[in-house]
Amino acid sequence: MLRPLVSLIALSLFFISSSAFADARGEMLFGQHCVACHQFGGKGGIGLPLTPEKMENVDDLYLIRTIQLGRPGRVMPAFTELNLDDVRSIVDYMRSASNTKSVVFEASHLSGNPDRGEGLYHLHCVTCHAEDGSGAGEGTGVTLSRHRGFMVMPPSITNPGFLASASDPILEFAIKHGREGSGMLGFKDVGLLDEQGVADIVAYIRQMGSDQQVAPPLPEDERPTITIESPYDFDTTVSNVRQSLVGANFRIFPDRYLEQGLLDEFMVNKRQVGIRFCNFNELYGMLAIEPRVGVVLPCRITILEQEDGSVLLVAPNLKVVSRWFNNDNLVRLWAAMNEGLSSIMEEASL
Amino acid sequence: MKKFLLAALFLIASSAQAITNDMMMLRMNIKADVAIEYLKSALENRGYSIAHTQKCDGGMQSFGYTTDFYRSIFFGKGAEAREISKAHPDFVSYIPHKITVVAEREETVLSIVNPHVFDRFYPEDSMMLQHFKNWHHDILSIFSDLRAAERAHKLQ
Repeated sequence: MLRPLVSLIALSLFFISSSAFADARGEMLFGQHCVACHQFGGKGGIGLPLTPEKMENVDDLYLIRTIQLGRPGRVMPAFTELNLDDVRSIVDYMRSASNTKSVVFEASHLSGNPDRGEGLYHLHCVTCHAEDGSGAGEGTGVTLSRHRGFMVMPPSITNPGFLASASDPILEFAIKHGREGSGMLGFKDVGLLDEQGVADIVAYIRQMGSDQQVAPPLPEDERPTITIESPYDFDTTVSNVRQSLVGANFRIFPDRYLEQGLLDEFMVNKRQVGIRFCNFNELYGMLAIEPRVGVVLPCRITILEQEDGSVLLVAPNLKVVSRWFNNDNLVRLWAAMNEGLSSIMEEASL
Repeated sequence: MKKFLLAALFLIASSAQAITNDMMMLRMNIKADVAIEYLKSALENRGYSIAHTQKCDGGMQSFGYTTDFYRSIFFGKGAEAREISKAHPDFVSYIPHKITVVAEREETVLSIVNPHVFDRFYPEDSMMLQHFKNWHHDILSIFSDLRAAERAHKLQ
Protein backbone atom coordinates (compact mmCIF):
# COMPACT_ATOMS: atom_id res chain seq x y z
CA MET A 1 0.00 0.00 0.00
CA LEU A 2 2.72 2.38 1.00
CA ARG A 3 5.05 1.43 -1.83
CA PRO A 4 3.34 3.50 -4.60
CA LEU A 5 3.22 6.51 -2.28
CA VAL A 6 6.91 6.24 -1.44
CA SER A 7 7.72 5.87 -5.13
CA LEU A 8 5.66 8.94 -5.94
CA ILE A 9 7.40 11.00 -3.26
CA ALA A 10 10.80 9.75 -4.39
CA LEU A 11 9.97 10.61 -8.00
CA SER A 12 8.80 14.09 -7.02
CA LEU A 13 11.92 14.68 -4.98
CA PHE A 14 14.01 13.51 -7.93
CA PHE A 15 12.39 16.03 -10.28
CA ILE A 16 12.59 18.84 -7.74
CA SER A 17 16.27 18.17 -7.03
CA SER A 18 16.98 17.75 -10.77
CA SER A 19 15.44 21.14 -11.45
CA ALA A 20 17.35 22.73 -8.56
CA PHE A 21 20.49 21.06 -9.79
CA ALA A 22 19.93 22.40 -13.34
CA ASP A 23 19.39 25.92 -11.96
CA ALA A 24 22.52 25.65 -9.86
CA ARG A 25 24.46 24.39 -12.87
CA GLY A 26 23.34 27.33 -15.02
CA GLU A 27 24.22 29.74 -12.25
CA MET A 28 27.61 28.13 -11.79
CA LEU A 29 28.37 28.27 -15.53
CA PHE A 30 27.17 31.87 -15.71
CA GLY A 31 29.41 32.73 -12.76
CA GLN A 32 32.34 31.03 -14.35
CA HIS A 33 32.07 32.29 -17.92
CA CYS A 34 29.96 35.45 -17.92
CA VAL A 35 30.25 37.32 -14.63
CA ALA A 36 33.79 38.62 -15.19
CA CYS A 37 32.54 40.80 -18.06
CA HIS A 38 28.79 41.13 -17.46
CA GLN A 39 29.01 41.56 -13.68
CA PHE A 40 27.03 39.99 -10.86
CA GLY A 41 23.35 40.31 -11.69
CA GLY A 42 24.25 41.11 -15.31
CA LYS A 43 24.72 44.81 -14.62
CA GLY A 44 27.39 45.07 -17.29
CA GLY A 45 31.09 45.88 -17.29
CA ILE A 46 33.40 45.15 -20.20
CA GLY A 47 30.34 43.36 -21.54
CA LEU A 48 26.93 44.86 -22.15
CA PRO A 49 24.29 44.77 -19.39
CA LEU A 50 22.04 41.70 -19.29
CA THR A 51 19.28 43.37 -17.35
CA PRO A 52 15.58 42.40 -17.63
CA GLU A 53 15.04 45.32 -20.05
CA LYS A 54 17.56 43.76 -22.45
CA MET A 55 16.44 40.19 -21.95
CA GLU A 56 12.77 40.79 -22.57
CA ASN A 57 13.38 41.97 -26.15
CA VAL A 58 15.15 38.87 -27.45
CA ASP A 59 14.40 35.19 -27.87
CA ASP A 60 16.42 32.31 -26.44
CA LEU A 61 17.86 31.45 -29.84
CA TYR A 62 19.52 34.87 -29.96
CA LEU A 63 21.11 34.26 -26.56
CA ILE A 64 22.21 30.73 -27.46
CA ARG A 65 23.81 31.82 -30.73
CA THR A 66 25.45 34.80 -29.05
CA ILE A 67 27.15 32.56 -26.51
CA GLN A 68 28.17 30.05 -29.17
CA LEU A 69 29.39 32.53 -31.80
CA GLY A 70 30.51 35.45 -29.65
CA ARG A 71 31.29 38.72 -31.35
CA PRO A 72 34.40 38.21 -33.50
CA GLY A 73 36.80 41.10 -32.96
CA ARG A 74 34.52 42.70 -30.40
CA VAL A 75 35.79 41.25 -27.05
CA MET A 76 32.97 38.70 -26.44
CA PRO A 77 34.57 35.30 -27.20
CA ALA A 78 32.82 32.36 -28.86
CA PHE A 79 32.37 29.82 -26.07
CA THR A 80 33.07 26.86 -28.28
CA GLU A 81 34.08 24.72 -25.32
CA LEU A 82 30.52 24.78 -23.97
CA ASN A 83 28.15 22.17 -25.35
CA LEU A 84 24.54 22.98 -26.18
CA ASP A 85 23.31 21.71 -22.79
CA ASP A 86 25.74 24.04 -21.02
CA VAL A 87 24.62 26.98 -23.14
CA ARG A 88 20.95 26.18 -22.53
CA SER A 89 21.65 25.99 -18.79
CA ILE A 90 23.21 29.45 -18.88
CA VAL A 91 20.28 30.86 -20.85
CA ASP A 92 17.77 29.21 -18.50
CA TYR A 93 19.58 30.76 -15.56
CA MET A 94 19.62 34.18 -17.26
CA ARG A 95 15.88 33.90 -17.83
CA SER A 96 15.23 32.82 -14.27
CA ALA A 97 17.49 35.52 -12.76
CA SER A 98 15.94 38.27 -14.89
CA ASN A 99 12.40 36.91 -14.50
CA THR A 100 11.86 37.09 -18.27
CA LYS A 101 10.68 34.66 -20.92
CA SER A 102 11.84 34.02 -24.44
CA VAL A 103 10.02 36.36 -26.81
CA VAL A 104 8.03 34.78 -29.61
CA PHE A 105 8.29 37.09 -32.60
CA GLU A 106 5.85 37.09 -35.46
CA ALA A 107 7.42 36.28 -38.79
CA SER A 108 8.36 39.41 -40.70
CA HIS A 109 6.26 40.00 -43.83
CA LEU A 110 8.10 43.13 -44.89
CA SER A 111 10.65 43.25 -47.63
CA GLY A 112 13.19 45.99 -47.03
CA ASN A 113 15.04 47.98 -49.64
CA PRO A 114 18.68 48.54 -48.62
CA ASP A 115 19.05 51.57 -50.90
CA ARG A 116 16.22 53.37 -49.14
CA GLY A 117 17.53 52.01 -45.83
CA GLU A 118 20.93 53.64 -46.38
CA GLY A 119 19.45 57.12 -46.33
CA LEU A 120 17.33 56.38 -43.28
CA TYR A 121 20.27 54.77 -41.49
CA HIS A 122 22.36 57.89 -42.01
CA LEU A 123 19.53 60.05 -40.77
CA HIS A 124 18.64 58.11 -37.63
CA CYS A 125 21.31 55.57 -36.69
CA VAL A 126 24.77 56.81 -37.62
CA THR A 127 25.34 58.98 -34.54
CA CYS A 128 25.38 55.96 -32.23
CA HIS A 129 26.15 53.05 -34.54
CA ALA A 130 28.74 54.77 -36.81
CA GLU A 131 28.99 54.85 -40.61
CA ASP A 132 29.75 51.15 -40.91
CA GLY A 133 27.53 49.95 -38.06
CA SER A 134 30.52 49.08 -35.90
CA GLY A 135 29.39 51.32 -33.04
CA ALA A 136 30.36 54.91 -32.34
CA GLY A 137 32.77 55.65 -29.53
CA GLU A 138 35.54 53.46 -28.26
CA GLY A 139 35.27 50.26 -26.31
CA THR A 140 32.47 47.96 -25.27
CA GLY A 141 30.08 47.51 -22.40
CA VAL A 142 29.28 50.01 -19.71
CA THR A 143 31.23 53.06 -18.64
CA LEU A 144 32.36 52.48 -15.08
CA SER A 145 35.64 54.03 -14.08
CA ARG A 146 36.67 56.21 -17.03
CA HIS A 147 34.83 58.90 -18.91
CA ARG A 148 33.48 57.79 -22.30
CA GLY A 149 31.01 59.15 -24.80
CA PHE A 150 28.13 56.80 -23.94
CA MET A 151 27.01 55.20 -20.68
CA VAL A 152 26.32 51.98 -22.60
CA MET A 153 28.55 51.67 -25.63
CA PRO A 154 26.49 51.09 -28.79
CA PRO A 155 27.09 47.53 -29.97
CA SER A 156 28.42 46.69 -33.39
CA ILE A 157 25.26 45.88 -35.33
CA THR A 158 27.22 44.66 -38.35
CA ASN A 159 29.35 42.22 -36.40
CA PRO A 160 29.03 38.76 -37.99
CA GLY A 161 28.29 37.17 -34.60
CA PHE A 162 25.51 39.64 -33.94
CA LEU A 163 23.91 39.32 -37.37
CA ALA A 164 24.03 35.53 -37.22
CA SER A 165 22.31 35.65 -33.82
CA ALA A 166 19.71 38.34 -34.37
CA SER A 167 16.79 37.46 -36.64
CA ASP A 168 15.12 40.17 -38.71
CA PRO A 169 12.16 40.35 -36.30
CA ILE A 170 14.59 41.02 -33.41
CA LEU A 171 16.21 43.85 -35.37
CA GLU A 172 12.81 45.21 -36.35
CA PHE A 173 11.58 45.07 -32.78
CA ALA A 174 14.65 46.92 -31.47
CA ILE A 175 14.33 49.67 -34.09
CA LYS A 176 10.60 50.06 -33.59
CA HIS A 177 10.51 49.96 -29.81
CA GLY A 178 14.07 50.78 -28.72
CA ARG A 179 15.97 49.30 -25.83
CA GLU A 180 15.16 50.64 -22.43
CA GLY A 181 18.14 51.70 -20.36
CA SER A 182 20.57 51.85 -23.26
CA GLY A 183 19.64 55.13 -24.94
CA MET A 184 18.25 53.31 -28.01
CA LEU A 185 15.11 55.11 -29.11
CA GLY A 186 11.92 53.37 -30.31
CA PHE A 187 11.84 54.97 -33.75
CA LYS A 188 8.38 53.76 -34.73
CA ASP A 189 6.96 54.46 -31.28
CA VAL A 190 8.00 58.12 -31.50
CA GLY A 191 6.84 58.42 -35.11
CA LEU A 192 10.20 58.83 -36.79
CA LEU A 193 9.89 55.65 -38.89
CA ASP A 194 7.03 53.62 -40.33
CA GLU A 195 6.95 49.84 -40.82
CA GLN A 196 8.55 50.02 -44.24
CA GLY A 197 11.29 52.40 -43.06
CA VAL A 198 12.21 49.94 -40.29
CA ALA A 199 12.38 47.08 -42.79
CA ASP A 200 14.54 49.17 -45.13
CA ILE A 201 17.02 49.88 -42.35
CA VAL A 202 17.14 46.18 -41.43
CA ALA A 203 17.91 45.36 -45.07
CA TYR A 204 20.69 47.97 -45.11
CA ILE A 205 22.21 46.64 -41.87
CA ARG A 206 22.26 43.13 -43.38
CA GLN A 207 23.93 44.50 -46.50
CA MET A 208 26.59 46.34 -44.48
CA GLY A 209 27.19 43.20 -42.44
CA SER A 210 27.97 41.15 -45.52
CA ASP A 211 30.79 43.63 -46.31
CA GLN A 212 32.21 43.61 -42.79
CA GLN A 213 35.75 42.29 -42.44
CA VAL A 214 37.31 40.82 -39.32
CA ALA A 215 41.07 40.98 -38.79
CA PRO A 216 42.75 38.35 -41.00
CA PRO A 217 44.81 35.68 -39.24
CA LEU A 218 48.50 36.34 -38.67
CA PRO A 219 51.15 34.44 -40.66
CA GLU A 220 52.08 31.10 -39.07
CA ASP A 221 55.70 32.16 -38.51
CA GLU A 222 54.85 35.32 -36.50
CA ARG A 223 56.65 35.11 -33.13
CA PRO A 224 55.37 36.40 -29.76
CA THR A 225 58.32 38.77 -29.37
CA ILE A 226 60.46 41.04 -31.52
CA THR A 227 64.07 40.01 -30.95
CA ILE A 228 67.06 41.90 -32.38
CA GLU A 229 70.75 41.27 -31.80
CA SER A 230 72.62 44.45 -30.94
CA PRO A 231 76.04 45.14 -32.50
CA TYR A 232 76.97 47.07 -29.34
CA ASP A 233 77.97 46.02 -25.84
CA PHE A 234 75.36 45.84 -23.08
CA ASP A 235 75.87 49.32 -21.58
CA THR A 236 75.93 51.06 -24.96
CA THR A 237 72.77 49.24 -26.05
CA VAL A 238 70.93 50.26 -22.85
CA SER A 239 71.97 53.87 -23.43
CA ASN A 240 70.91 53.74 -27.09
CA VAL A 241 67.46 52.36 -26.23
CA ARG A 242 66.88 55.12 -23.68
CA GLN A 243 67.85 57.78 -26.22
CA SER A 244 65.55 56.33 -28.87
CA LEU A 245 62.63 56.23 -26.42
CA VAL A 246 63.15 59.83 -25.35
CA GLY A 247 63.29 60.80 -29.03
CA ALA A 248 59.92 59.09 -29.52
CA ASN A 249 58.38 61.07 -26.61
CA PHE A 250 57.92 58.20 -24.22
CA ARG A 251 58.03 58.58 -20.47
CA ILE A 252 60.66 56.17 -19.11
CA PHE A 253 60.16 54.46 -15.76
CA PRO A 254 63.07 53.34 -13.54
CA ASP A 255 64.80 50.29 -15.01
CA ARG A 256 64.20 46.91 -13.46
CA TYR A 257 66.40 43.85 -13.69
CA LEU A 258 64.60 40.84 -15.09
CA GLU A 259 65.09 38.82 -11.89
CA GLN A 260 64.58 41.76 -9.52
CA GLY A 261 62.18 40.87 -6.72
CA LEU A 262 62.28 37.21 -7.71
CA LEU A 263 65.75 36.37 -6.37
CA ASP A 264 67.94 37.63 -3.55
CA GLU A 265 69.31 41.00 -4.66
CA PHE A 266 72.90 39.73 -4.59
CA MET A 267 71.99 36.89 -6.96
CA VAL A 268 70.16 39.04 -9.51
CA ASN A 269 71.76 39.06 -12.96
CA LYS A 270 72.44 42.75 -13.62
CA ARG A 271 73.13 42.15 -17.30
CA GLN A 272 69.42 41.55 -17.95
CA VAL A 273 67.51 44.79 -17.66
CA GLY A 274 64.03 45.90 -18.68
CA ILE A 275 63.57 49.47 -19.86
CA ARG A 276 59.93 50.30 -19.23
CA PHE A 277 58.17 53.14 -20.93
CA CYS A 278 54.73 54.56 -21.57
CA ASN A 279 52.88 57.37 -23.25
CA PHE A 280 50.02 58.17 -20.86
CA ASN A 281 47.94 59.83 -23.55
CA GLU A 282 48.09 56.66 -25.66
CA LEU A 283 47.55 54.47 -22.59
CA TYR A 284 44.39 56.35 -21.64
CA GLY A 285 43.09 55.96 -25.19
CA MET A 286 43.89 52.25 -25.14
CA LEU A 287 42.07 51.73 -21.83
CA ALA A 288 38.93 53.20 -23.38
CA ILE A 289 39.13 50.58 -26.13
CA GLU A 290 40.21 47.69 -23.94
CA PRO A 291 40.36 47.87 -20.12
CA ARG A 292 42.55 44.78 -19.87
CA VAL A 293 45.61 46.13 -21.73
CA GLY A 294 47.48 46.27 -18.42
CA VAL A 295 48.18 42.53 -18.77
CA VAL A 296 50.77 43.54 -21.37
CA LEU A 297 51.55 47.21 -20.78
CA PRO A 298 53.55 49.27 -20.00
CA CYS A 299 55.84 48.50 -22.86
CA ARG A 300 59.20 47.09 -22.03
CA ILE A 301 62.32 46.47 -24.05
CA THR A 302 64.48 43.92 -22.29
CA ILE A 303 68.21 43.96 -22.94
CA LEU A 304 70.09 40.76 -22.23
CA GLU A 305 73.78 40.02 -22.30
CA GLN A 306 74.16 36.34 -23.11
CA GLU A 307 76.93 34.01 -21.92
CA ASP A 308 78.86 34.46 -25.18
CA GLY A 309 78.78 38.26 -24.73
CA SER A 310 76.20 38.92 -27.45
CA VAL A 311 73.46 41.38 -26.59
CA LEU A 312 69.75 40.95 -27.44
CA LEU A 313 66.89 43.41 -27.43
CA VAL A 314 63.50 41.76 -26.83
CA ALA A 315 60.02 43.30 -26.81
CA PRO A 316 56.49 41.88 -27.03
CA ASN A 317 55.18 41.56 -30.56
CA LEU A 318 52.03 43.66 -30.25
CA LYS A 319 50.63 42.23 -33.48
CA VAL A 320 50.47 38.83 -31.77
CA VAL A 321 49.52 40.10 -28.33
CA SER A 322 46.57 42.13 -29.62
CA ARG A 323 44.93 38.92 -30.89
CA TRP A 324 44.49 37.62 -27.34
CA PHE A 325 41.85 40.28 -26.60
CA ASN A 326 39.42 39.51 -29.49
CA ASN A 327 39.30 43.25 -30.08
CA ASP A 328 39.79 44.48 -33.65
CA ASN A 329 40.13 48.11 -32.54
CA LEU A 330 43.13 47.08 -30.49
CA VAL A 331 44.49 44.97 -33.36
CA ARG A 332 44.50 48.06 -35.61
CA LEU A 333 45.97 50.34 -32.96
CA TRP A 334 48.73 47.95 -31.92
CA ALA A 335 49.71 47.12 -35.49
CA ALA A 336 50.75 50.77 -35.79
CA MET A 337 52.38 50.79 -32.36
CA ASN A 338 54.31 47.67 -33.23
CA GLU A 339 55.90 49.47 -36.17
CA GLY A 340 57.00 52.24 -33.79
CA LEU A 341 58.41 49.74 -31.31
CA SER A 342 60.37 47.95 -34.04
CA SER A 343 61.75 51.28 -35.26
CA ILE A 344 62.97 52.20 -31.77
CA MET A 345 64.73 48.86 -31.41
CA GLU A 346 66.27 49.11 -34.86
CA GLU A 347 67.43 52.66 -34.24
CA ALA A 348 69.05 51.60 -30.96
CA SER A 349 70.95 48.84 -32.70
CA LEU A 350 72.02 50.70 -35.86
CA MET B 1 26.10 14.74 -2.46
CA LYS B 2 24.83 17.77 -4.39
CA LYS B 3 27.78 19.81 -3.15
CA PHE B 4 30.15 17.10 -4.26
CA LEU B 5 28.60 16.96 -7.74
CA LEU B 6 28.72 20.72 -8.05
CA ALA B 7 32.35 20.77 -6.98
CA ALA B 8 33.15 18.07 -9.55
CA LEU B 9 31.33 19.99 -12.26
CA PHE B 10 33.14 23.14 -11.25
CA LEU B 11 36.53 21.48 -11.62
CA ILE B 12 35.65 19.98 -15.01
CA ALA B 13 34.37 23.28 -16.31
CA SER B 14 37.39 25.16 -14.96
CA SER B 15 39.86 23.10 -16.93
CA ALA B 16 37.78 23.37 -20.10
CA GLN B 17 37.35 27.10 -19.84
CA ALA B 18 40.96 28.04 -19.66
CA ILE B 19 42.22 25.94 -22.53
CA THR B 20 40.23 27.82 -25.14
CA ASN B 21 40.07 31.33 -23.76
CA ASP B 22 43.10 33.54 -24.35
CA MET B 23 42.38 35.64 -21.31
CA MET B 24 41.70 34.34 -17.81
CA MET B 25 39.53 36.60 -15.72
CA LEU B 26 37.98 36.64 -12.29
CA ARG B 27 35.48 39.09 -10.87
CA MET B 28 35.45 39.51 -7.09
CA ASN B 29 32.55 41.02 -5.24
CA ILE B 30 34.84 43.01 -2.97
CA LYS B 31 36.70 46.31 -3.28
CA ALA B 32 39.92 46.43 -5.23
CA ASP B 33 42.15 47.55 -2.35
CA VAL B 34 41.05 44.47 -0.39
CA ALA B 35 41.11 42.12 -3.39
CA ILE B 36 44.72 43.02 -4.20
CA GLU B 37 45.86 42.01 -0.71
CA TYR B 38 44.12 38.64 -1.05
CA LEU B 39 45.76 38.22 -4.44
CA LYS B 40 49.23 38.92 -3.08
CA SER B 41 48.71 36.36 -0.30
CA ALA B 42 47.38 33.77 -2.75
CA LEU B 43 50.37 34.25 -5.06
CA GLU B 44 52.85 33.87 -2.22
CA ASN B 45 51.02 30.86 -0.82
CA ARG B 46 51.42 29.19 -4.22
CA GLY B 47 55.19 29.77 -4.16
CA TYR B 48 55.43 32.91 -6.26
CA SER B 49 57.40 36.02 -5.38
CA ILE B 50 55.89 39.41 -6.07
CA ALA B 51 58.45 41.35 -8.08
CA HIS B 52 56.61 44.64 -7.85
CA THR B 53 53.23 46.36 -8.04
CA GLN B 54 52.70 49.03 -10.66
CA LYS B 55 50.23 51.77 -9.79
CA CYS B 56 48.92 52.52 -13.30
CA ASP B 57 46.09 54.76 -12.02
CA GLY B 58 48.57 56.96 -10.15
CA GLY B 59 50.58 57.57 -13.31
CA MET B 60 47.50 58.48 -15.31
CA GLN B 61 46.05 60.69 -12.59
CA SER B 62 49.33 62.60 -12.33
CA PHE B 63 48.86 63.42 -16.01
CA GLY B 64 45.33 64.69 -15.41
CA TYR B 65 43.34 61.61 -16.45
CA THR B 66 40.38 60.29 -14.52
CA THR B 67 40.57 56.62 -13.70
CA ASP B 68 39.70 54.28 -10.90
CA PHE B 69 41.99 51.83 -9.10
CA TYR B 70 44.19 50.08 -11.70
CA ARG B 71 47.24 48.08 -10.64
CA SER B 72 49.44 45.48 -12.25
CA ILE B 73 51.19 42.90 -10.12
CA PHE B 74 54.36 41.34 -11.50
CA PHE B 75 55.12 37.92 -10.05
CA GLY B 76 57.18 34.85 -10.77
CA LYS B 77 59.73 32.34 -9.55
CA GLY B 78 63.42 33.23 -9.64
CA ALA B 79 64.67 29.82 -10.72
CA GLU B 80 62.14 29.66 -13.58
CA ALA B 81 63.03 33.16 -14.75
CA ARG B 82 66.71 32.23 -14.88
CA GLU B 83 66.09 28.92 -16.62
CA ILE B 84 63.83 30.45 -19.28
CA SER B 85 65.97 33.52 -19.97
CA LYS B 86 68.89 31.18 -20.63
CA ALA B 87 67.05 28.63 -22.78
CA HIS B 88 64.62 31.04 -24.49
CA PRO B 89 65.86 34.63 -24.29
CA ASP B 90 63.18 35.49 -26.87
CA PHE B 91 60.51 34.79 -24.21
CA VAL B 92 61.71 37.26 -21.55
CA SER B 93 59.07 39.85 -22.42
CA TYR B 94 56.55 37.63 -20.64
CA ILE B 95 58.62 37.25 -17.47
CA PRO B 96 57.68 38.01 -14.74
CA HIS B 97 53.98 37.23 -15.14
CA LYS B 98 51.59 40.12 -14.92
CA ILE B 99 48.06 40.27 -13.55
CA THR B 100 45.91 43.39 -13.57
CA VAL B 101 43.60 44.41 -10.75
CA VAL B 102 40.93 46.83 -11.93
CA ALA B 103 38.13 48.36 -9.86
CA GLU B 104 34.63 48.42 -11.26
CA ARG B 105 32.93 50.44 -8.55
CA GLU B 106 32.61 48.12 -5.51
CA GLU B 107 33.82 45.09 -7.45
CA THR B 108 37.20 44.01 -8.81
CA VAL B 109 38.21 42.35 -12.05
CA LEU B 110 41.45 40.41 -12.32
CA SER B 111 42.85 39.60 -15.77
CA ILE B 112 45.84 37.60 -16.90
CA VAL B 113 46.89 36.12 -20.22
CA ASN B 114 46.22 32.38 -20.42
CA PRO B 115 49.71 30.77 -20.56
CA HIS B 116 48.39 28.28 -23.12
CA VAL B 117 48.40 31.05 -25.75
CA PHE B 118 52.12 30.34 -26.01
CA ASP B 119 51.73 26.62 -26.73
CA ARG B 120 51.66 27.08 -30.50
CA PHE B 121 54.96 28.96 -30.48
CA TYR B 122 56.84 26.13 -28.73
CA PRO B 123 55.11 22.99 -30.02
CA GLU B 124 58.15 20.73 -29.66
CA ASP B 125 59.60 22.20 -26.48
CA SER B 126 58.57 19.98 -23.58
CA MET B 127 60.13 22.28 -20.96
CA MET B 128 58.15 25.31 -22.11
CA LEU B 129 54.94 23.34 -22.58
CA GLN B 130 55.29 22.04 -19.04
CA HIS B 131 55.79 25.58 -17.74
CA PHE B 132 52.67 26.78 -19.56
CA LYS B 133 50.69 23.88 -18.13
CA ASN B 134 51.96 24.54 -14.60
CA TRP B 135 51.28 28.26 -14.78
CA HIS B 136 47.80 27.65 -16.09
CA HIS B 137 47.09 25.22 -13.26
CA ASP B 138 48.50 27.67 -10.72
CA ILE B 139 46.33 30.51 -11.98
CA LEU B 140 43.22 28.35 -11.67
CA SER B 141 44.28 27.40 -8.14
CA ILE B 142 44.92 31.04 -7.25
CA PHE B 143 41.49 32.01 -8.60
CA SER B 144 40.00 29.23 -6.51
CA ASP B 145 41.86 30.50 -3.42
CA LEU B 146 40.53 33.98 -4.11
CA ARG B 147 36.95 32.75 -4.36
CA ALA B 148 37.41 31.09 -0.96
CA ALA B 149 38.95 34.29 0.44
CA GLU B 150 36.04 36.29 -0.94
CA ARG B 151 33.53 33.98 0.75
CA ALA B 152 35.41 34.23 4.05
CA HIS B 153 35.59 38.01 3.72
CA LYS B 154 31.83 38.25 3.26
CA LEU B 155 31.30 36.26 6.45
CA GLN B 156 33.45 38.62 8.53
